[in-house]
Amino acid sequence: MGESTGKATYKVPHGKLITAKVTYETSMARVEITGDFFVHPEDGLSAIESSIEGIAANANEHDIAVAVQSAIDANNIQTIGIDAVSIAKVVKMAIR
Amino acid sequence: MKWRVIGIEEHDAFTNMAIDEALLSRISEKESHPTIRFYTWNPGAVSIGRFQSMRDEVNVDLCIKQGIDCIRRITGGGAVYHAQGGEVTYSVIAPEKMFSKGIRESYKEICSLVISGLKNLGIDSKFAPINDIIVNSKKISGSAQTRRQGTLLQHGTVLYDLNVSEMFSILNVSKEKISDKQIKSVEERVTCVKSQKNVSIMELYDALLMGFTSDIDFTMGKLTKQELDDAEELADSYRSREWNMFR
Repeated sequence: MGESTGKATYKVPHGKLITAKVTYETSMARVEITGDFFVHPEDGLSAIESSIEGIAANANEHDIAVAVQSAIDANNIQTIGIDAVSIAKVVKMAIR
Repeated sequence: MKWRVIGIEEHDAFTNMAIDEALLSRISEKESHPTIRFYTWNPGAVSIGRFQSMRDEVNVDLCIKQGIDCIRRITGGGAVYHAQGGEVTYSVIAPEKMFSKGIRESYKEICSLVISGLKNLGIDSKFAPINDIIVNSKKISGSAQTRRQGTLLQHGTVLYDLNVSEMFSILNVSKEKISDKQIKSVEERVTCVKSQKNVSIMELYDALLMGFTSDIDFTMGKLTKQELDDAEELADSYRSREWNMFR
């Protein structure tokens, strides 16, 4: 079947714009999150992206959100304009 | 704590962003006073937020053709077209303990200085969370903030003049961005000082200077040689394709 790449954009209600570009086969191999949001410290976005990589491509939004929230908590990351749920939502949109 | 205020200067995009970062470092090392600076951009430039994709946000080919610089900021937030003569940009760089610990609250505090400046021109504006200032529901100013080693940097623009068609030929504004704002067109989102009051850009600067400094202890100052040397070195990174195109 081979790898596929999907991209989706989502405007978080009362928040910021978030785009996910996901390369996947049976699991998500590469995840790139972009947008006009804020992440403090800024390096924290890499930890968020890494937390999604390796998750099964057919995982549900809740499972993705749990992984992202764990990375946010473990790395003491503050997000403004996005959150774990919105990240999970756009990642899932990208691989549909 | 005593502030240093650096009066309005004009630089290219790479120098402007490099100066802000150099000050962030020097102030975090307690080698420079908390600083407020004002600046404009020559040539005009597009800056994108730390987490944005240059290709997604900017018509890079058009910018190259028109001599418009493209740069990635170290702060988050959105893409901004800094037209030459079209805006005044401010930076506030200071120990973060001088502001609220909460990032959202500190946006409000610093944006209140811009609001105060606009009021000096008779323009009534208000803070629109997360990081905007609006006049009659239209954005007139946007800001972005980062914090490093206990120091806060917030920079933001105040739109003086606006060529909407030029702005939106350079920026790729997605339909998703305006999806929850119940408006028909991106052109209905933005206003500028010149549309509100018949004043010069220097009158806007004077009003902002007054707004930012009316309640602080400050002296007007200049960048030190060390800060300028730091900025010159950092400007090379800001010019690099590796930095600007990495997302």
